[in-house]
Amino acid sequence: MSIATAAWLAYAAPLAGCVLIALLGLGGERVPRRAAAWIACLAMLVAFVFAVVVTVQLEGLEETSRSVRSVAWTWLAAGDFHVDNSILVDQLSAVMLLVVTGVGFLIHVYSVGYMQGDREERRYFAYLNLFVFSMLILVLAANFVVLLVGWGMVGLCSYLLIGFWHQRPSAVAAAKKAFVMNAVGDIGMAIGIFMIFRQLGTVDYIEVFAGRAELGADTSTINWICGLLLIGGLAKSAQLPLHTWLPDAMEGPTPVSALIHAATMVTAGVYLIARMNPLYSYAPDIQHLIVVLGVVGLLMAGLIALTQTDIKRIIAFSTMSQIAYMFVGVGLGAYWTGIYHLTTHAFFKALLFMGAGVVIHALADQQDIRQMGGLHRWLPKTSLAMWIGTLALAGIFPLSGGLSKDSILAAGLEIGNGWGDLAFFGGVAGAVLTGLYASRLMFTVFRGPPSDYAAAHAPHHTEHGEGPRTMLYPVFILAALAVVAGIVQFPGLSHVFSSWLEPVVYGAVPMLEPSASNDWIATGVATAAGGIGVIVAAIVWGHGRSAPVSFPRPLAVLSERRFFWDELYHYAFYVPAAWTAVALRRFVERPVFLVVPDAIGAFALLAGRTLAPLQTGLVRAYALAFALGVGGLVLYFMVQAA
Amino acid sequence: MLGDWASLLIYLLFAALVAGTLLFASVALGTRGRREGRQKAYSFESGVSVGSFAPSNFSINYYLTAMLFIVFDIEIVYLYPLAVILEPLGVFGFVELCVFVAVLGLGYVYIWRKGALEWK
Amino acid sequence: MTTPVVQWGALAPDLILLGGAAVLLLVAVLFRDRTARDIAMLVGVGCFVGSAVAVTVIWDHGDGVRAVLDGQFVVDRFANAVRVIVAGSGLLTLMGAYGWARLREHGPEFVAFLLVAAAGMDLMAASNSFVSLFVSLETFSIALYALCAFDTKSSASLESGLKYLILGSIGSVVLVYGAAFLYGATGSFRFDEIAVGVAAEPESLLALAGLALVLGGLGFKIAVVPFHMWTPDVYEGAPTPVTAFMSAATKAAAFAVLVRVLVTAVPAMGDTWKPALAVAAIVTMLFANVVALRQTNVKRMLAYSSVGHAGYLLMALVSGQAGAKALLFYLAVYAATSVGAFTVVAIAERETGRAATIDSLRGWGFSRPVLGGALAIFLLSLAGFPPTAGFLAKLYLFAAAIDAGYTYLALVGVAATVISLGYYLRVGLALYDRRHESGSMLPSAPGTAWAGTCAALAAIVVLWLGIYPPDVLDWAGQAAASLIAAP
Repeated sequence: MSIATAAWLAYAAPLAGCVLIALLGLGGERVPRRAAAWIACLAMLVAFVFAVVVTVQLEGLEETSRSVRSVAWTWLAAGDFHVDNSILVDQLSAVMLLVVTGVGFLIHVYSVGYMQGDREERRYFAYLNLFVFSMLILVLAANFVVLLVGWGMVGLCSYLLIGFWHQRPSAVAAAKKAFVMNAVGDIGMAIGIFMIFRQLGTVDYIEVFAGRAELGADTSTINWICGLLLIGGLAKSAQLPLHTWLPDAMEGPTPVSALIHAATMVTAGVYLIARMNPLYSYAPDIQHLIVVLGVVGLLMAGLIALTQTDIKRIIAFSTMSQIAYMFVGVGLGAYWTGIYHLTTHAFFKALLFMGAGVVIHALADQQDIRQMGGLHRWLPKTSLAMWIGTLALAGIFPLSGGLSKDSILAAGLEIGNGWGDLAFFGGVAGAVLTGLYASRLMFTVFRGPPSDYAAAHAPHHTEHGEGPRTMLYPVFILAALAVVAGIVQFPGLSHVFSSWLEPVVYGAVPMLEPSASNDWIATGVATAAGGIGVIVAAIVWGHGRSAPVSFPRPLAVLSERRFFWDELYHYAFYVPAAWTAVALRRFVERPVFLVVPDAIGAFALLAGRTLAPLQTGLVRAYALAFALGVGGLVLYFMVQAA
Repeated sequence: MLGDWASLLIYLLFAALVAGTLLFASVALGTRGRREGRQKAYSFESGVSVGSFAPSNFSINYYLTAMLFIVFDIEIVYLYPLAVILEPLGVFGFVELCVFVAVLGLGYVYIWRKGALEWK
Repeated sequence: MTTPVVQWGALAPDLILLGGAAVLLLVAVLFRDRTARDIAMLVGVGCFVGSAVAVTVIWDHGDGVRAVLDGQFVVDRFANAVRVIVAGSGLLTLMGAYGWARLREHGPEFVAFLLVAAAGMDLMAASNSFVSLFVSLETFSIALYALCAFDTKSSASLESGLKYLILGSIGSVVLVYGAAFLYGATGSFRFDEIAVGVAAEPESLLALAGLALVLGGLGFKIAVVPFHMWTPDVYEGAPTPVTAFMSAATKAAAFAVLVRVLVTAVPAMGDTWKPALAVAAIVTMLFANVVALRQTNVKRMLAYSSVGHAGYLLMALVSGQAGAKALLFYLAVYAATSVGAFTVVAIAERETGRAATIDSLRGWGFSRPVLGGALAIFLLSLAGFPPTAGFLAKLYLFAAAIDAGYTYLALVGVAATVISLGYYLRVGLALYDRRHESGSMLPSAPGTAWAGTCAALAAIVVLWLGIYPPDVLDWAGQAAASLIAAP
C-alpha cells in the first residue's frame, strides 16, 4: 500500500463512520443504542492503524523524499489557477496524523462510557467523527483552500459539540461565543490567503513555499500575510487576545473538552505556524510578536487558573497557558519544540480532562472543586493517573511534559538576544505558576476531608468501581504515554523528534536545536521551578480544600475576573456596536428606511397604475407584454442593421 | 437602401391587404341587420349557442367526439402522400406505414377502452 | 428513389422514450388504479434509465457528431448531454411524484405525457432545422400543456394549463414567423444552410427580423424578461411535480437549441445578437431577483428564481465554448436543485394541506430534519454557496463571461446573486425558526417516502457535484467542444 493510499484511507475512515452513524437514524428504534458508539470507535481505530502505516512507510523512505503530495481531483480550474483536493503527507503531518487519530481513538473509547445513557448519543458520535475528519482535512491539506475548509469545519464541529446540550442556555451561549471568535480568525486567515494568491497566483503549499523569497522580498507584504494567518491561529488556539471563548467552551461534554479543546483543535494554530515556517522565517517582526503574546499569555492564564473554582475551567486555562508555551517555541523559530510540546501536551492534557471527567461522573455532574475534597479514598486509580498528568504538566523531569517544555526554554536560552531571554525567564516563571495551580487542583480535589457534597455522592457513585472500563483504560494508557513519551527527545541522549522534523523546516533561518548543555540547564531550572510550585502548593493546600488562602487583593481580583477580558470586549465591541445600532436606528433607519420605502412605495403605486394590470393573471396582458417585447426586439435588430 | 427593405415592405403590404380584405368583405357582404333576426348577429361557434350564460354547464361529449374525429382525420391524411410513393420506398415504406397505423390503432384502442366514444 | 436512411442508434434514446409512452397507453387500458400506476412508474423509470444508458453507448459514435435524418437533426455530444439532463430530471420527477394522489387514477397517462415531453425536448436539443425544431417544440409543449392541467379538479391547475396553452401558442407562432423570414432571406430551414446565406449577406433585414422573432419565440420558452410573464402563474398553478420537471428539463432543452441556433445558424450576425442578449441578461437577472424578493408563496418565488437563473444562463450564450461548457454544467446542477426543491415543496404542501408559503414553512425544518436539510441545501445551491454545486456552476459561468470580455455581465451577475440571497435565505431562516419549533419529529405523511428519497438523492447530487465536479465538468467540456470549436 502506498503512503498516499494509506493516508487517504486514514482520512476517509472517520467520514465513513460519520455517514454510517447518520444512516443508522433511518433504522429508528431497531438499531441498538450503542451501535453508534462502537462504529465511531472502529472508524477511529482504522484511521489510527492507517496513520501508523503512513508513518512507518514514511520512515522507510530517504530523509529528503519524505514528502508525498497526492491529488485526488481538481476541484476548480480556471486558466492557470487551480484548486485541487490534495493532501501533503510529510514528517509534520505524520506527527499530527498520529496525535489526532491516536488520542482521538482513546477519547472515542472513553466517550463510550462517558456518554452512556445520553438521549442523543448518536448525534454526539456523528459529530465527534465529523470533527476528526475535519481535523484531518486541516492537517493533511496541501493547499490553502483545503486548509481553510478544514479550519472552518473544525470550528463548526467545535460549535456543534460545545452546544451539544442545547437545552442549556449557557451551552448555547458558549457555542455562539466560540463561533464568533473563530469567525474573526477565519476572516483574518481568508484575507491572508487572498493576499498570498494575489502575490503569487497560487494557493498550493509547495508552490507558495517555493515563492517564499519573492514574498519575503517586501517586508510589509510578508508581515501582513503572516500577521493575518496568525489571527486565524490565535483565534483557533485561544491565545491572547482572542482567548475568551475557551473557558466557556467547557460547557461541552468532557471528552469533547479533552479532544477538541485540549489535544487537537486548539493546537491548530501551533501547527499552522510550524507548517508555514518558510513564510514566518521571513517575518521576524511577527515572530517576535508571537513570542511576546505567548509569554504574556502563559503568565496570565497561569495566574487566572490559580483562583478558578470550576475543575474544567482550571484545566482550560492551563491549556491556554501550555499552548502559549508552544507559541513561544514556534515564535522563536524552534518549530519542532512547539510540535513536540503539542504532542506530549495532547497526552497529559487529555489525561487530566478525562480524569476530571471521572471525578465529575463520580460526583453526579458536580464541577465546583469547593464541593470536592478527599476523593482519593474513592478514586485511588484516577488520583494516581491524574498526579502523573499533573507532574507532567508542571514540567517535572523526566516526565514527557517536562522534557518538551524544557526544549522550548532551552531554545530561548540558545537564542538569547532579549527575545530568547524573555522566553526563557517568562517560561520559568510560568513553570512556577503551573506547578502551583496544577497541584492546587489536585490537593483540593483529592486530599483533605471530603466536603458534605462529596461525602453524600461519591460513595454511592463509586460502589461499582471508579467507572466503566471504557473510561478507565484510556486514562491509564494516556498516563503511561505521559510518562514515557519524552524518551524520543532526551537532552544529550536522543534527538529523534527534532531530526525527524528537521527536513520540514526550510526558511530563511535553519532549524534551531539547542546545545546539550543549554538543554540540561533549562531542564534543571524548569524542573526546579515546577517543583517549587508543587511544594508551595503542598504547603498551602496540602490539607485539602479547607485551607484559606489570600492573595494580594488586586491580583486576586484580576485573576478571579480573568484580567477583565470579557468586560473589555463587552465595552470595546459590544457596547459601541449596540450604540451604533441604536444610533443607526434613530438617525438612519427611521429617517431613511422609513421614508425611502414610502417614496419607493409611492413610486411603485404610480408605476403600478400603469404596470399592475400586467401581472394580474390576465392572459391578454401577458400576450400584450410578449408582443411588445418581440416588437422591441425586432425594432432593435432593424436599427442595428440600418 | 430601398432594396434592403423592399422584400419586407412587400410582405407587410400583402399581410395588410389580406387582413383588410377579410375585414372589409365581412362588412360589405354580411347580411347583418335587424330584419334578418338576432341569431345571425352572433359569431359561428360550431353550432352551439353562444347566447346562453357562459359559466353554465354544458356537455363535453360533443367537443370530445369532434376533436377525436379531427385528430384521426388529419392523421389519416398523412397516408395519402405516403401512398403515392409507397412503391419506390419498398419494404421500408410499408413497415413505416404499418408502424404509423399501429400507433394510431393504439390510440384508438385507448380512447375506445377509456369510454371516450360513448355518448353519455 | 432511394430508401431513406434512418440512424436508429443515434435516435435510440428518444425512441425508447416514445416507445415507452406507447406501451403506457396499453397499460392504461389493461390495468387499473394503483397497479396501473406502479407498472407505469416501472416503465417510466426503465425508459429514462434506458435513454441515459443509450446515450452513454452512442456518446463516441461518429466522433461525437452525427447528422441524422437527412440533416434535420444533429446528434452530437452536446445534444446527448442534454438528453442525460432531461432523463435525470424525468427520473427524479417520477420518484418525487409517486405519492401524488392524482396518479392513483391516471398514473399511466402522467408518465406517458412525461415521456413524450422528454422525447420532444431531446429532439429539440438535437434539431438542426427550423422544421424539426418546431415539430419537437410542439411535441413537448402540447404534452406540457396537458400536464399543467393534469389536476382537472383544481381550478388553479386548469388555469395554469390554459394560460400556458394560449401564451405558448403565441410564442410558437412568433417562432414560426421568424423561421419563415429566415427562409425568405436564405432559402432554407436548415441551420447550416442558413449560416451560409447569412454569412453572404449579414446585413439582410429580412434575416435580422427573422432572427429577432426566433429569439422572441425561444425567449418565451426559456422565460427571459420580457417574455417571462407566464412563468409565475403557470409554475404556481401547475401540479408541483410538473412544475419541477418543466423548470429543469424545458430550460435545458430550450437553452440547448438556442445555443445551437446562435452558433450554427447565425454566427455571422454575432455583433447584432450578442449585445441584445447581454442587455436581456442584465434586465432578466436584476428584474427577476428583485421581484422574487416580494414573493411569499414559495412556488412563485422559485418561479421568479427560475427566471433569474435564465438570466444568468444568457451570459453563457455570448461566451463561446467555455460558455457552452459552463451552460451544461449549470443546467445539470440546476436540474437536480430545482427538481429537488419543488419536490420538497410538494411534500410540504401535502403535509400542511395548503400552498407552501414562507409562513407555512416556519419551523418545519425541525420536524422534518432530512427534508428541511435537503431544502436548505437546494436553497444554498440556488444562491451559489460552497460547497454546493451552485457555487461552482456560477463560478464557471462568470469566469467564462469574463474570459469572453463580458466582465460587466459577471459583475451584474454577482450583484443579482447578492440580491437573491435576500429571498433564498429568508426561506432558509423560516425553515429553522426556533419560535415555531414543534419540538417533535413528525412521522412522514403517507406516500411521501419516495418523494423524500428523491429529495435526498437530489441533495446528494448537488453536494457531490459541488465537492467532486471533475467527471461532470469533463463531460460538459466534451459536449461543448462537439458543438463549438475552441477559439
